[in-house]
Amino acid sequence: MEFDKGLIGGSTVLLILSLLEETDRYGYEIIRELESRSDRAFQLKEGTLYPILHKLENDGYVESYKAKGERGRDRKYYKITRNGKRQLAKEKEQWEKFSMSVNKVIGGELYATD
Amino acid sequence: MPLTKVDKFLEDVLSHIKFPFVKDDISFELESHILEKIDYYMEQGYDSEKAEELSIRDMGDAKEIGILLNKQHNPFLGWLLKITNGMMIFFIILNIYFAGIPFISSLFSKNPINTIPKEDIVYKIDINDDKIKKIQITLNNGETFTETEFYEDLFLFAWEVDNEEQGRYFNNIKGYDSNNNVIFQDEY
Repeated sequence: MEFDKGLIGGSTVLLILSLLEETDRYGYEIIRELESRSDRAFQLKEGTLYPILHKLENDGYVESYKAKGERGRDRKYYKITRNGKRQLAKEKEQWEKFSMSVNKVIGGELYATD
Repeated sequence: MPLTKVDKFLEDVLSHIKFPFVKDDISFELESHILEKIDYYMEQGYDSEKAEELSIRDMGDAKEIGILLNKQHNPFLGWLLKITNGMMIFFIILNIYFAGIPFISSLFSKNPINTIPKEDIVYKIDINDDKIKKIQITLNNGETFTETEFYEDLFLFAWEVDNEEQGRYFNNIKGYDSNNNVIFQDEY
């Protein structure tokens, strides 16, 4: 199942910040995590992740640094900032409200906690 | 393995980025992503050419990525930031020059000899010779003092002439060069 593009667009920030809250990650890793955790439902065009990451960095929600990964390759890692954590909390709350509202419309409270 | 397709993709993306200082960084980041993806496909059994093709396909549209990235690296703001950074450095240097140096040099230019009351200065010998790196003086009771540091252009020695009978008077002076040879000598 693939989601509507707009819907993914709205929540990518939430997803990325959540992944970065667990640990510092580099772009390719973020894509793989998104895919595997969503059973491949989130398959965004991989290159479009970078404008989002750079925006998050410009907004001060993440910071980046270079470090060597396995195979000795340099990678650019992203790390969530304190501001980013605050934003994540907000985004989570918004998402919960949103999904609750959708569930109310489509079939009652049951889905909200499902 | 020639990565012509990867290079082409990177070039396409970068052609939309107006701010030159971020190009290397973006190129590095996208390239390392594609290389990892190529590895992934090759581990799945694809040959390198197919792996490269699939990896680039997965990236999406180079133009779209380029335009979106360019929005995040606005040349106007980028230049403004560069210029403000430059100005900051310029002003810091200016400050060091106009405020810092006079301040620092004022700390050193206070020649201690000027703070000593005139009546306490026993001898003052000016030696106008840059070669002199060390001065040693001997008092009449055999005590010696050596000094290798300048205060402005003076070697400064201070001792108390506390016992009039025994003395502690200045007796002789020797000036040494950098090889520790005596090149100046005088007796009182």
